[in-house]
Amino acid sequence: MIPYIYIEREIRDHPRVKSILSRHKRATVVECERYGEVFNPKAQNFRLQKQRPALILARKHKGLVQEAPPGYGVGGDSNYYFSHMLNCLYDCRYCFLQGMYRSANYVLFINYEDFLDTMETLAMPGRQTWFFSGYDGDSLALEPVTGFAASMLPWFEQRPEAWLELRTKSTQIGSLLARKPLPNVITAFSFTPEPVWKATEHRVPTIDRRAEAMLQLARSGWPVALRIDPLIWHSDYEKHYRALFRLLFRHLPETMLHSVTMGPFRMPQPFFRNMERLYPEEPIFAAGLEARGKMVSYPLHREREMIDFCVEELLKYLPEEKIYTNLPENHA
Amino acid sequence: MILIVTAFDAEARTLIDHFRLRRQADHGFPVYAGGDVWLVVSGPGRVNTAAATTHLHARAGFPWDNTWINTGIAGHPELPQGEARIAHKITERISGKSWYPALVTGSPWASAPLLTVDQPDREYASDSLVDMEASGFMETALRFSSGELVHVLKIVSDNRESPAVIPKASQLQDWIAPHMAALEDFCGSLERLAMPLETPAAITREYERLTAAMHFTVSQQNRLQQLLQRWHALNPDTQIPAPVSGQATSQALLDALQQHIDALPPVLQ
Repeated sequence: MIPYIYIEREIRDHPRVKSILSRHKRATVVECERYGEVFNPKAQNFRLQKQRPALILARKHKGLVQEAPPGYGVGGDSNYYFSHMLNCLYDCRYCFLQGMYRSANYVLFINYEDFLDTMETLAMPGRQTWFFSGYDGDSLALEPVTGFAASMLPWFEQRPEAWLELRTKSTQIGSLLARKPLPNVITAFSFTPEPVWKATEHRVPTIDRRAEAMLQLARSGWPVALRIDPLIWHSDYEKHYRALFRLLFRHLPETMLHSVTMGPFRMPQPFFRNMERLYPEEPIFAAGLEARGKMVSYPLHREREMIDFCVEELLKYLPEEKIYTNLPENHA
Repeated sequence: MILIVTAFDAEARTLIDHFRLRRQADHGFPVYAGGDVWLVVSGPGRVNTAAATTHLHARAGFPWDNTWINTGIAGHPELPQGEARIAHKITERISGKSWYPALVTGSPWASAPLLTVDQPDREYASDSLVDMEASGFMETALRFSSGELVHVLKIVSDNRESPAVIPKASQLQDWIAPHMAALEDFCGSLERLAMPLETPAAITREYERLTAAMHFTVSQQNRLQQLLQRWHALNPDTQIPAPVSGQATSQALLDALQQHIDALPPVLQ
């Protein structure tokens, strides 16, 4: 249950706000001028707030759709990312959001149409343009509250050269199953091996349940993809990643899979320091990482070793052209 | 630690009795303490409140990330006298600035917005609680603690039907006393919430043992603290191995500990 809903005064009467409030009648509603008044103050602790986050309803005014970093993508001509939400229902210990934001409250930007208007200006005829959703929060986990994915799909139906990736760890696929599949909308499920899930992905549905959701979508004709991201170095990681791939491909034929991407754990140093301060007892922050340039990451040789291992394992199940390693430019 | 700021002696009396606090030998502001609870009586207005909050912070030993409560009486257009509300938004009339306390633990009382004014408000025009202290408290206490631990609890003393007069001390106690048990529970829940922010005792013990045994420079002490934190994250409740702690110099110990930690992949269970 969401205990408090903060609303920017200017959107108090927006139909989407009214609809959300009608479904959260027990929540206390608090008006604010701008969401930053609640979300940005310094004296906040992400870890404490994560125990009972509030929902903030806001309008996003600028930077609605951003260019993706070089090296990021799955073969498109242009790559962009966007977030209709800040923060996530889940509590993954490796997630950069806890290092980037002071508040764990969920911010939902309700002006979905403005996101689509911006995409309209970016999608070029004759060029495959990708829009990646789920950078600042899970794309589908709060779908029953937000209805975001459902409201985006008609636009993508009209623009076959624009591609949408919905990145998720959830099983909230109802709004997709309710309509005709679109070949240019990919639902990308993120996975880590079971011991990593158990130790670090708090509140995330089990691997089995997510694999089942992925299969259900695929069988209904929706393109699906795998995101093995972030790669986490831990004791017996080879055995655990091998077991994960075996499980995922047991039921899901390669032909149903759009792509597999993977990326090692990497974090801007200030974010990592914040995360370490918040969770000093966290084993994955304690070993094997080093400061490299402005980032904290595994040493290059360890990144390479993990990626090579995973690629080799994945090649047992699918062709090379479906595997992407999303490595930043400075990866030598 | 629980740090309480009230404006008047008469408001403080019920709290002093409930928490069994004793007057401290302070100049400037009356301060009371007992066990883990500290209380200061600020006098009216946001400037007095800000100053008293700072005074209490110093007097209690500059605690970091502890529970702070501002409590006392307030007006409200409609709520009955004696009704308590925790503030979910505090707005300072003169500056227009607002604070939004994060009620992470839940609260025994319903919440309400609160307006802090500089002159007593006899119009009851705002649909909020109205006081003269809370914004000064928030502005200051948030320098010493995280927003989830800083709260304002107000008890209604006047409304349109019973406009503000200076209440008798006995009347104040009648209004405040029924909320004491709930306030103690609420403070307890905030203290439990703050527990993960404390350094685990095992790390402190190990740090003290090692720094007592040999000399560490200040930068080495910082490094030792960080390495012990990492060691305990990977090996909870395990002392660092004897070959590491038995190194002849502090530098050798730190290097050996670092090497030991870097070689260990985390075991995830």
